[in-house]
Amino acid sequence: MNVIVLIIASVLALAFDSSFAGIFTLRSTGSISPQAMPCLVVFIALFAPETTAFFVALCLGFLVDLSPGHGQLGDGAHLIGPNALGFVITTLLILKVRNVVFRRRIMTIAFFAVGAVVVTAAVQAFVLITRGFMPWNPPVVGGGFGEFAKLFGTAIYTGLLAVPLGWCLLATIGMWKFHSPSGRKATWR
Amino acid sequence: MSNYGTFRKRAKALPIAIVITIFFAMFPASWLSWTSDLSDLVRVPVTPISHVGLMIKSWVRPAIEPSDLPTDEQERQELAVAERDHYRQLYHAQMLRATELADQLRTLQLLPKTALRNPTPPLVVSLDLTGINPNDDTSTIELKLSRHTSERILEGDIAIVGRDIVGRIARVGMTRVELLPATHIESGFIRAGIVPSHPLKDNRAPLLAEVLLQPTGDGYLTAEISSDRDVQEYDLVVLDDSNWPVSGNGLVLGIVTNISSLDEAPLRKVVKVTPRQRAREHARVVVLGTGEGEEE
Repeated sequence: MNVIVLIIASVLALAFDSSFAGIFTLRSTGSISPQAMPCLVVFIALFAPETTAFFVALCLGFLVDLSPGHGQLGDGAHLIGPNALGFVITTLLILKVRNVVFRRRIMTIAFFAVGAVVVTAAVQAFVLITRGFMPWNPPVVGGGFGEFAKLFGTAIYTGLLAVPLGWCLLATIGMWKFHSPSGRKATWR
Repeated sequence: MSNYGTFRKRAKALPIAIVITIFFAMFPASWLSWTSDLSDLVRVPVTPISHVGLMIKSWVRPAIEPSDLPTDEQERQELAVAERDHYRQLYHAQMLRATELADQLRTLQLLPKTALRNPTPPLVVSLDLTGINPNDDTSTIELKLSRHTSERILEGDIAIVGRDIVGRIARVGMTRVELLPATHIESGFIRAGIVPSHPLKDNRAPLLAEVLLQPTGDGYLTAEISSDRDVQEYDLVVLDDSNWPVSGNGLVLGIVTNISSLDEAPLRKVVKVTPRQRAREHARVVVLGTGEGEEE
C-alpha cells in the first residue's frame, strides 16, 4: 500500500473531522456532524491486505484519539484506545465479510461507514465502561437515549458523506496500490 | 521458509499492539499526560489544513449569537433607535428643504428671461395660504408669514403660481401677508400685452395688442382694443406694466376668453380676460420678493 497516499488521506480526513465537518453540522438536531475517518477506515479495510488493514486501522484510531475533543482527560492528556480499538474491531468485521460484498460499489462503502460509526461507538462505550470499573478511574457518566439517537444520526450522516467520499476514494484506488500477499486480485469485485 | 515472513511478524505484533492499547486505555489520567505532547506532534501536519477549514467553516456558517446571555443589547438598541430617529429627522428636514429648493428652481425656470436678467432678480419665497373667503372669488387672501421671510417681501410684490400672476402683496403684517388678486377691483388698471398662445405655430405678430386691463370685480379682467387687432380667443395676456415690479413683466395674467364688439364704439372691441390660475385654488403661492433680506 502506498504510504504517502495513506498519510495524505489521513491528514485530510483528520482535518475534515476537526474543521470542515462543522460546515455540515446539523445544529438543530444536536450538532450531528459527518465523519470522514470511518469512511477511510472502511475503504482500507475493504481493499488492503488483512494485517495491513489492522495496523492502519489501529494507527488511524490512535490519530483520532489524539485529536482535539476526543478522549480528553484533562491537562491536555488524551485517552488512547477507544477509537483505536473501535477501528480495529470495525476492520475485523469488515474483513470477515468483504469477500462476499461488492467492494467497488459506493453504496457498499456507505453502508459499511454507517456500521463503522456504530461499531466504533459501541467499542468506545465498552472501553469507557471497563475503564470506569478500574478503582483508580472515576466512573463513567453520560449516555442515555439522546446520545444513542445522536449516534445513529451521526452514523447515517457519515453514510451520506461516504457516498461522495467513497466515489473519490474509488476513483483513486490505483494510487493506493493495494496488493494481496499472493499478488492475486481475484477477490477484487 | 515462508514467503510471508514479514506478515507473520506483523501478525504477532498486532495482538501485542492491541493489548498495549487496551492497557493504555485503562491507565489513570495522570499516567497519560505524555499523550498531550504526542497529540501536539501528531497535529502538526493537520493543523494548517484544519485552520483553513475552520476559517472556511466560520465564513460559510458563522456562529449563532446566543440570545439569552445578559448583554447591553437593550441600551445599544435604544441608542441606535435614538440615533436613527435623529438622523431620520435630519433626513426629512433636508428632504423638505430639497423639495422647497426644487420648487423654487422650477419656479425660476418658469420665469421669463427678462425677470432673471434684471439687475435685482427677485427672491423666490413660497408662502402658504392661511385664509380665504370662499364666497368671494376676488377677495383678499391671507398668507402665512414666516419670520425669516418677512424682510424679503414688500407691498406690491407679485405672487405667482407657475408662470401665472395671481395677485400682488397688499400688506405685510407682523404675522401674515395679504394678497390682493389681480382681478380684485382695487388692483386698478393694469397695462398688459396680448400675445399668441403658440407664437411658433402662429403667423400673427408676436405682440397682438397693448391693452389696459380693468378688473370687473367678479373674477375677470376686461380691456378695449382696436377692432383691427387680430386678437383671438385663448391668446395670452401678459403683464407689461411699469407700475408693477420689473420681475413680473412677461408673466401671464390670463387668457382671452371672449371678444365682443361695442355698440357705442364700432371701431373698438372688448376682450374678456380670465386668469388661468387663482390663488385660492392652491395651497401655496410663490412671491417674487423684492426685499433686501438674505435667504437663510
